[in-house]
Amino acid sequence: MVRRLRLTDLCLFTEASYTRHLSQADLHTAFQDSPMSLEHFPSGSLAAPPPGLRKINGKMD
Amino acid sequence: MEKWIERQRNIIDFTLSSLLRRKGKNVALVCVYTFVVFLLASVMFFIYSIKKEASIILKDAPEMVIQKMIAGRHELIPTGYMDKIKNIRGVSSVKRRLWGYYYDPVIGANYTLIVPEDSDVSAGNIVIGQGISRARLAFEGDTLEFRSHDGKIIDLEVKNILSLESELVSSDLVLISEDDFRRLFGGSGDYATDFTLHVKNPRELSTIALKIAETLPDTRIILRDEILRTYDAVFNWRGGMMIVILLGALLAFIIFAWDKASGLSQEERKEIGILKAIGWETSDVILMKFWEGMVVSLSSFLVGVLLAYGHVFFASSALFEPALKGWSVLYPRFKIVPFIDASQLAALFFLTVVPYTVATIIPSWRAATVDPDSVMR
Repeated sequence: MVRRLRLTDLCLFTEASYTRHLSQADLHTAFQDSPMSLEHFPSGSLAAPPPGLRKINGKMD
Repeated sequence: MEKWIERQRNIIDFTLSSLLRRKGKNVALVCVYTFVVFLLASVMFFIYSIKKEASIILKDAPEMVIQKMIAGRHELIPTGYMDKIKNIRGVSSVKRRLWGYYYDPVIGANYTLIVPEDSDVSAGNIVIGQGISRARLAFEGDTLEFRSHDGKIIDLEVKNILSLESELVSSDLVLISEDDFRRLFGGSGDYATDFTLHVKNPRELSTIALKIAETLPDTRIILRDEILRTYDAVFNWRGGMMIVILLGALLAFIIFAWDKASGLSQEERKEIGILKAIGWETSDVILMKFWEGMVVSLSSFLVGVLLAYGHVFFASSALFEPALKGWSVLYPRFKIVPFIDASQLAALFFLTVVPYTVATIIPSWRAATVDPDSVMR
């Protein structure tokens, strides 16, 4: 099925697009609704952002 | 009064020296006790502060945000929709919002670009946040390069830098004019990122939201109250989840502390017997045990709370950051301002210090009421 439907992610958390498709999420997906919003889906704490995304904004701290 | 204080001092003095005699055991107990208070207080501090902060920041958020959705995704909204919304009775104003994200390959960071409503940024100029200023070493009068959607380079002059006080919400902001925004991201003036809406009577908000949803079925409406409730619920959920995870450790500690506090060792019984034999009264023994419980539990409580304060507000809750912050960890500047709820702290105090102290008193009272001769044998 994965090959036929060209799927990319496991269906673990369906409530938010970024936890549904972890591999497709970028830095902005969790903040799509409003600039400067806080991420607010419960599954956000169960499925952490992919490690590659976490280092990018370090210099702005 | 002076005599009373003197009595307490002498008893505390004796208690401390008696605790020091069993140094290893008591230090181990204080360490575990402190750690448990530290964990609980950390979760409490974090959850309360983040909820408070979210409510303060969002109290001035727009009453209603309207976004267009295509295939479940947020899309640019046609400005023609504004007229349809304005015609709904009770709506006092509808405004466009233009905002977006820009990835800067020079420092590998992301900026949030916003076109301010009062348009105090003229074309060719930008106002930047402190974070960008630091990272790009850009100050007033400097020029920053941006790469537009069609690959062209656009030079924009830094006209001003946003204040240090507002850094929590403005570190990565770039205020830009509408013309430059369009040049950078493309798209025509017929589209906006989303709309914000004000109503004449806030009690009509939900009715108006319903009407908009009926008139424009391809939009999604976000109310400020909903946003506030969401944050409240989600942080309670996250805090609760952490407490459930810690519950195992907590129960283990309660059993350990209860056992330690309520069961007297042979040595301690003997000590009580000797004290009684040399003339201490039962009330003195109970007072001594009360202070013993107080010294252990109060010092653990205070140290635990102080460590938790440092952990949450200085070290950004490093221990359970991912679980509590979720995807907000993507923004390292996300540091919370200390807010402490006195009632929660009091609850923690009564749940940790009081039971332990009471648990130490009861068995010693039992031992102290027995004949000293039989206890010493």
